[in-house]
Amino acid sequence: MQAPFPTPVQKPWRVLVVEDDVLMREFFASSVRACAQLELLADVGSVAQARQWLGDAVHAARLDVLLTDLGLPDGSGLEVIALAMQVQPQCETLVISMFGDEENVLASIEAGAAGYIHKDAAPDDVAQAILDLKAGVAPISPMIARRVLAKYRSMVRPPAVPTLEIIKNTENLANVSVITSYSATNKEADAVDAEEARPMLSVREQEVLELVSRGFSYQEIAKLQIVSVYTVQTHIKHLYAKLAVHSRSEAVYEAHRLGLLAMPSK
Amino acid sequence: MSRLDLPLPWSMPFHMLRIRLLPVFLHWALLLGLLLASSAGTAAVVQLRDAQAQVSQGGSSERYPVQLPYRWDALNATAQGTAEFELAFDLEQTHSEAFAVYLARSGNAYEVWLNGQLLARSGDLEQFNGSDFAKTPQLFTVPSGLLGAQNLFRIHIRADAGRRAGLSAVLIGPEREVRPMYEAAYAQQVTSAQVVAMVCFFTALLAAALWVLQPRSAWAAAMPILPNAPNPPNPPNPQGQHLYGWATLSLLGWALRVLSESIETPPLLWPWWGFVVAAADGCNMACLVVFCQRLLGSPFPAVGAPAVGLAAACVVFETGSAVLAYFLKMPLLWQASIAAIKLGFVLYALYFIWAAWRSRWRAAKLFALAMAASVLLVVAGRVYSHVLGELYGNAAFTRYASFLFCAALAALVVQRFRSMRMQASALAQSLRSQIAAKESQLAASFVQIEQAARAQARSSERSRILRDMHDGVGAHLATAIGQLQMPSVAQQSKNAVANANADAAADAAADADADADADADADADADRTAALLPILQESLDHLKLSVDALDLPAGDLAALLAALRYRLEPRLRAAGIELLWDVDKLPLLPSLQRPAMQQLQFVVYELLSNAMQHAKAKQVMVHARCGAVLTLTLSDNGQGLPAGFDWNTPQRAGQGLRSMGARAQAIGAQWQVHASGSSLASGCALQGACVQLRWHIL
Repeated sequence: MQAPFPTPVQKPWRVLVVEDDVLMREFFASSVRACAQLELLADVGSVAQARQWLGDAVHAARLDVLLTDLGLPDGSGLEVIALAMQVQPQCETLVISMFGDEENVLASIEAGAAGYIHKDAAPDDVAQAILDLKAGVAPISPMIARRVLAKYRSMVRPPAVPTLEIIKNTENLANVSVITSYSATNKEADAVDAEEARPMLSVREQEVLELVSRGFSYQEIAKLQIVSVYTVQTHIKHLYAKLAVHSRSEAVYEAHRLGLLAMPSK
Repeated sequence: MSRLDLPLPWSMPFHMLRIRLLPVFLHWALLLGLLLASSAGTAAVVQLRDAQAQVSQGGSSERYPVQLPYRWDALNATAQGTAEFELAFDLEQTHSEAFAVYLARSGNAYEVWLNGQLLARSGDLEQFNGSDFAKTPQLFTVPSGLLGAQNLFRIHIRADAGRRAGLSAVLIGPEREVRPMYEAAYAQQVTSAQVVAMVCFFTALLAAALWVLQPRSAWAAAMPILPNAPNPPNPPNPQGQHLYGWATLSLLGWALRVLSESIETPPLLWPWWGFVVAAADGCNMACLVVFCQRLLGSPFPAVGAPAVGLAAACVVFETGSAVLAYFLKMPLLWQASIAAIKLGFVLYALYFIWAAWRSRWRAAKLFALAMAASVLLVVAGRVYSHVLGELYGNAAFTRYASFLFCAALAALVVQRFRSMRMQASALAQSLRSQIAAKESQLAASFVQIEQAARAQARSSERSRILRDMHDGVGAHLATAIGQLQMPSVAQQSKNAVANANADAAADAAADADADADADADADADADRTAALLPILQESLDHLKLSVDALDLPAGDLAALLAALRYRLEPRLRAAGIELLWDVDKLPLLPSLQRPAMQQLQFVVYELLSNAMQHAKAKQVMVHARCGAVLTLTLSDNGQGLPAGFDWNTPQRAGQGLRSMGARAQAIGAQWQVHASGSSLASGCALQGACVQLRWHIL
């Protein structure tokens, strides 16, 4: 993990702000500028501008943190997140959210965002949120924790289900061998199945999520679980990563199932 | 071949039996009366037993005295022939009234002459194996004046081999006395045979109709169709599927067998007709055995597939014995065969009675009773025919057993109909239950769909509101807050104050009043800015809580508290207040539906706002526990409520608290306010004001 604060020899974290509202963009930009540990690379107001900026390899290589709104005039901030992760995988993203509502935040996390920040946050809080992000802290609201738990509990898909589902639909034994051989020869599908086979959340992660959903802070959870706050934060960070991976796996699986992805030849 | 006379266990209600046997009793009574009258010498009816017989058979003829009754088959074995009987008798006095002659049995064809005059002739004395007039009793009226003091009967008979020809004792007397005897015998031998045959025939038709019309799978498979259907009191015998078929065959065989005893001119010549009757008799017995065995049901073995073979074997055996015995002229073979069949059947009858009594099927028990009664009838018939011998070996009692069988079969039909009806009723009930269950599932599905639709609509509405607020009022509020918090603005404010100070210093000498005004204006702007920020933040918090309330799960108090903490803790922290959190895992409160959740959210929000704004507290604690009562306690370590505060006194209670109390009570919570820690209740951990809301779980 990277250090929470740049060391004396380390350069400040470089930030790109994507926000369509001029005043708000200026607010976030000035909040970043006001922090000595942060450096504002650019502030843009649309997906197209962000795409153009990220299209420059020199710019992209310098990017540490993407701070983006979701509702942009020419598209969704999710596109910007995806592009940023594509051109600079080391980049971490904070989503600017008005309400921190579950739908938008979860969509952002599943797209690869590592956290979110409220639009009404104080300037110091904005800077602190970015620094916390780089220090490995991932915020999560009780509402999001509850939604994640509910989604996790509703997932009853055992590893063999995709194949069985196809068999059940075809109700034709002749197709079983075809499906089986298809699955056996497809590494990517195997990876998806293996991913499905693993529980998405560990027991400890579930417990942490339970406590978050009941309103406990990370410090209180650490006390209750007799672990360090850092451990709790790590659980949440892992959860974010799992949500994103799960989302991608799910997308790959669904794409396979719907025949949208071509099967690579052996 | 002797006449077939097998102990078949037919059945009949007792009162019917009594009616049918009445002629037999009358016959007995008349014979008894005749004997008594003869001994007293006053009876006009004369019974003639002594005769001179001229018997011709196989080309030889022999004359010798005989004692009637004369049984041709017993004395002449397998031969056919003719015989002429002369019976002389005297009458002490002449009578003016009409006289009649009664013959209980005669030859297969006969001529009766009295004093040289032909009284009656039936059949052709020269044509053997044709019509058979030996079966029925005969009555001849004696023409007036024919009788004298000395009289001679000359009776010619034709006797076919094995056809029970012969001559019974001859009764002559006044017609008014002889005719009842004839009629009683006729009723017993002919009419009863026809009645029994007709009853059996129509019962067989009924059974055949039931057999054909009954669905093949209904009887045995009815129960497994609905395994959860309640069992009827009399469950059907799974082996009883073809009962009616076997009953039909048995009854038809018996009907033909009995009817043949009254048919003088059969459709086939003798002995072929006799073979047919033997086959019918065998069919009757074999099918009856199969019927009874199937009736027993589990655990007794059903005859099953070999049943047809067994029945056919029995028919072939009996018919074959008759054929061989006739053509090989071995009457003993026939007698041995029929004796073996009878013995076998009697043994089976005893087994059936024993097994049926142990069976769980009531129908089997009913037929066991009929079988037992039939055995008694057979024994009575044997005693009647062989011990008394007056009916020439014709055990007519046996045929009445068929009435017992028909009655038992009728009872079986009724019982099966009742069972079927109860089964159908049970099936209908089961069907109704299943339909009701499906309907209730459907209704539940509709409710779920409706709830899902409502949730979907709510979610869509929430998304719409979120979008609107995000783009509209929320964005404006956030922008305003951001502007007020923006470093440059803050710096401008500071600069404004500094500039004002600098300007004031520069112009101090010029206009001291103007300096004072500029300072005041700058301070006022800073104050207004500082005052504006929390208002805007509170407005945005309200907005966020309203958005959260749209998606709060009904009854989930923990989720509500958690969302409130998430939204308000930054403000509490900014106000220097530490939030202590002690919320247990809470169950869902059914009484807290969505409107109630919004009310409760507002109440808790107001309580926390009060703690921030008025209590001067440094700590606020949210405590929630659940046992039989779910208790939510909010306490602080502030100054507490004013001294003498009384929640129940309207004048002293704050308007805000009153409003919150009303809201809490409206959503079914018990509302309790403690002015300070002096009245610490459970959960009031801090020394300041404490408010408790309680819900009864049980």
